[in-house]
Amino acid sequence: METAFVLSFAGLSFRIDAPEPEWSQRLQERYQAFLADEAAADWRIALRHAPDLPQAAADWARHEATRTEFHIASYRGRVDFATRRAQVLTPDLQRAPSALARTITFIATVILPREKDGLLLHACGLASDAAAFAFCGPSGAGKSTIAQLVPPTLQVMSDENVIVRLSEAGPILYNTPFWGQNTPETRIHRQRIHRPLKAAFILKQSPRWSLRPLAPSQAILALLATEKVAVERTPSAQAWLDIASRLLAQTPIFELGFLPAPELWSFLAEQGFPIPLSSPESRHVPPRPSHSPTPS
Amino acid sequence: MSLPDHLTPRRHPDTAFRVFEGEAVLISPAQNMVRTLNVTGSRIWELMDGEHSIADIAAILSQEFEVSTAHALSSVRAFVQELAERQLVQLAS
Repeated sequence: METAFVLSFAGLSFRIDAPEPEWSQRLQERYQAFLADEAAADWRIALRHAPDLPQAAADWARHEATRTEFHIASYRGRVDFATRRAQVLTPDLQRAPSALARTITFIATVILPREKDGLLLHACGLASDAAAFAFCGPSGAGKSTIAQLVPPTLQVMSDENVIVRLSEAGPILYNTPFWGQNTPETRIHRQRIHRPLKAAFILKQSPRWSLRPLAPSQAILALLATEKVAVERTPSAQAWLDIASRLLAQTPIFELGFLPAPELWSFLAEQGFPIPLSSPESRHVPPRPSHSPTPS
Repeated sequence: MSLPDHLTPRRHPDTAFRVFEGEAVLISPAQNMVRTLNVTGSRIWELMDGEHSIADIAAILSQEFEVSTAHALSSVRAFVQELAERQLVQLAS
């Protein structure tokens, strides 16, 4: 049986070479909605079975020239951006999806700004029939909570990793096959979805509801704090800033103070975000920040 | 000791930056650092191109922000010194 298969999403494609037919079969079942023609693959990832691989004493990643090596949790690997090849070792099939998710999302964070006019967002993506919203934040910010509170009018794209790509028609939000590591499989629905991105919210758990438009530099800092950002090399950081700048010009970004309660949606509706939101008139434009005359 | 005014600071090539509505965001992977600059700091940052001296930059700031040359010079010296210590700019004479 062929052990290779191709994953494709948001204009990215990865040929996965699994170590055994059973691994390949299980992974293909998991990622069925994202399987594609083998000829489409831009990247090749060798997944290797390393039963004796120890847990990392401390997570690390090392970036040199075009290569990155890492040992995170029980996954060890290397990525070569020049040859577009990667290898990741994992001790068993159970942890293979996480190993692939970590490797592929890292590659995506680096190549999306440089090659695809896009960014990987560490976000819960929600889609209506006509629009999408991204709820961004680092681990523990509330992305999974947002996904659990979702009303029937919205579909969860992923509770962990979504991709925004800029286009002449505006930013488009795409889902990925990769959900939160702790999300129960019963809550996961892997389907290809993409919708125009109408707004992004930076999650902030709070004792009261609040919505604050972020000035561009504040929005950039907030996005940088969401963890999955490629700033490991200067060209990566510059590409990320350039694409983020273009995203800000097309998409309002807010800080959302929220309580983990279903009233979230009525609160957003009161703020001009009816669910589903389809009217461009409801966009908010962040005010210009005030400035001090002293360098800081 | 303050920096000589004839020095020409240049943004370090290993620092990525972008100016957002007058405010610069700097990312230095080597320093594992992210920093924002306000309007004045951002203007100084933009002028640190290896062509303008500290005195040139202060003169431009004095005009654009309507402050005395002495005040501008003092601010620019201190700011450049701080960025140089953080290896975000290179200095040449």
